[in-house]
Amino acid sequence: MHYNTLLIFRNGPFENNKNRDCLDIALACSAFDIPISLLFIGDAVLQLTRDLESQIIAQKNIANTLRALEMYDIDKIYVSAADLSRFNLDESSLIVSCNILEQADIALLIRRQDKVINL
Amino acid sequence: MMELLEYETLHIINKNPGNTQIYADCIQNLLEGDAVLLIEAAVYASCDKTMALYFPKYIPLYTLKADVDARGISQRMSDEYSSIDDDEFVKLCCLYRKSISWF
Amino acid sequence: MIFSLLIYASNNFTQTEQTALRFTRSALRQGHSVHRVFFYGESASSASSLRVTMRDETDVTEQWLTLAAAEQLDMVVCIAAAVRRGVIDKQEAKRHKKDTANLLAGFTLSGLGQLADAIIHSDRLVTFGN
Repeated sequence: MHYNTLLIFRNGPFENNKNRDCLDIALACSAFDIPISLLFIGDAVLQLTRDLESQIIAQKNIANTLRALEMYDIDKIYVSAADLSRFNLDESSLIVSCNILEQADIALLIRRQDKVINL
Repeated sequence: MMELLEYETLHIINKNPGNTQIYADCIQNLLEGDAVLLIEAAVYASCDKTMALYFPKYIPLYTLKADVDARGISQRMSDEYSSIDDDEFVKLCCLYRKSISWF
Repeated sequence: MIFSLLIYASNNFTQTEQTALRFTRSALRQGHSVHRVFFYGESASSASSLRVTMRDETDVTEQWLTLAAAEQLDMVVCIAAAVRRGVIDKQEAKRHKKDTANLLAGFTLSGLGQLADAIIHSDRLVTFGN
């Protein structure tokens, strides 16, 4: 069986529970040794910024989980270059080290996968 | 790195064409060898004149028949789309190496 | 071909579960196998025995249960998604000190590992969401 799996994050912080749900899938997949990649596009790039202060609005922050991804051997994290620049962000604004991809490479990343979950 | 261009990714959209970001995200990631299937409210895109401009010409476009009929748009569906039933939906999922749902 | 389905949808006023149900029926009718149907996010609410379907509406959960019984479908509800939405089995009722359990027979509560297992053991994973 082929199961290189990509999880696509598309939602902004505190918008709904989708980013967290997606992240939980990532952790479960990693426990099963499924080769996974995470892709952040659109408003989801904002989820990766250092500046979130979720306690002000009594929301849960997934930053700690994101920072811990390395410990789960999840190191294939990709971010859309176009969406970063749209929000005036760059690599130094992010809490995890990411591969920044141009749109053409995002399409190729998706193509390489066997399974994609896109919440 | 482009390997054999066979039946690669089936992109399934279920939101109406007013959800422009979803369509943009899907369309930006279409490559030759992919196909698009519109289900549920997304079938309305098949009679939205502006939509056909956005999907690349080389991408096969499908609509789910039950949703087309439920919305009474079979006569207004643009020629680029083929309407398929549930069994053909399953067949497309077998034919294409994987599916991505955009919602 | 071996399919698994990920359902990530509210079944209140959306047709997504109905689409997934028709897909599952069609796959089985064509001789494919369905390894698992995994209910995640809002769709966990579907497994509650306390939901009431109005008389002029279709009870999609009832249809899932009928299909599952006939075809030995493995219908798993994400346990974390379920307890948050007030869907608990006897074990969770005990753990969280609730005086009743409401998980419909026919559904199983389990962790996301069951989704990971479905990824590994299925040729195709099809998501139905909204």
